[in-house]
Amino acid sequence: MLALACASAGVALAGGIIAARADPPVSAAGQLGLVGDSASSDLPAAVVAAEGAMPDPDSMGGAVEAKARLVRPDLPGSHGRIYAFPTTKGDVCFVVTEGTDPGACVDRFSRSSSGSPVGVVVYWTRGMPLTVAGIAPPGVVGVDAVIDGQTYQASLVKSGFYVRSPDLTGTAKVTAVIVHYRDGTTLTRPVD
Amino acid sequence: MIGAVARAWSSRRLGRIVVVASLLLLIVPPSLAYGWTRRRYGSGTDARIGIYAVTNGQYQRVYNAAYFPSGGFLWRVSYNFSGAQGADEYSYNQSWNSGVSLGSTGPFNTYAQCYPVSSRAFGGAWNCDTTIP
Repeated sequence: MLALACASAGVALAGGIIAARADPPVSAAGQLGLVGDSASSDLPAAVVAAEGAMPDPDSMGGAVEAKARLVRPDLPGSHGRIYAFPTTKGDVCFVVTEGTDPGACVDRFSRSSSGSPVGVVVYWTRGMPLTVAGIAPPGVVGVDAVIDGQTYQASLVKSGFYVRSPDLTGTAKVTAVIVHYRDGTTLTRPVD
Repeated sequence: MIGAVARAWSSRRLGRIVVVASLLLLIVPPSLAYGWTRRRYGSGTDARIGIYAVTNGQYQRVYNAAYFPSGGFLWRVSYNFSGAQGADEYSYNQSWNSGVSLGSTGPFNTYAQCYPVSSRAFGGAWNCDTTIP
């Protein structure tokens, strides 16, 4: 009972990292609500290519193409969007449809110090600023990125977040992502 | 008589066509139907700074992806024009999430490369895949 109370209250970690509550034992696809939903129609070619590329068939299963979903319709100052789709093993992959269409996959959203509180990509293409984007599970109300020592607040709409500033170049260094939760807690995840 | 022979021959030919078409569907990977082939250009069982995989040639590519154990380690995939690590890059993407990937190079012929950028070493299988025309 005491252990349960401690887990509910949260555990403070050293180094400025505050983790609250134990992670729910469900897949990233379940956490993001991609299970049992209907599909987005007219998927862009970048998403179709990502469905073939991103899940490693050896470890992550295959893409469940019928459940691909638009999770961020409008990125500020860009024509890009963020799409997500689950894999047969419950991972969630996402792709940002701009530049060279970067993406990544999350097996489980986790508040552990080395886990993935959010899905995140840090990308750059010639002619474009460095950008940080990703997907966040329910309960996340804000995301910041620390880039070259400066904190940038992400635009978070639905499940997709996005940070871009015209002064960021391909040599800019992202050192941390800060995740703000609805319960008032904050988690700082180093990007190392 | 002639009509019966013609019908039998036509039926046999139709059967052969169906058999050949069925075999082609089984033999030809779906990727070939789209005009590209998936190619694994790097793999290993541990990773650390200095590990680096790059393709042999420059092509237009549909994607470039790295798969590695989930555990917070940072990987980068990129396209570049020199074949040297991190030099003359056209585009990159890095993430601590597995399956970190880039999509189409558009009209550009590039090398594909992948490498860990975490300051920590780690164990576990990693693979990097890209496409060739």
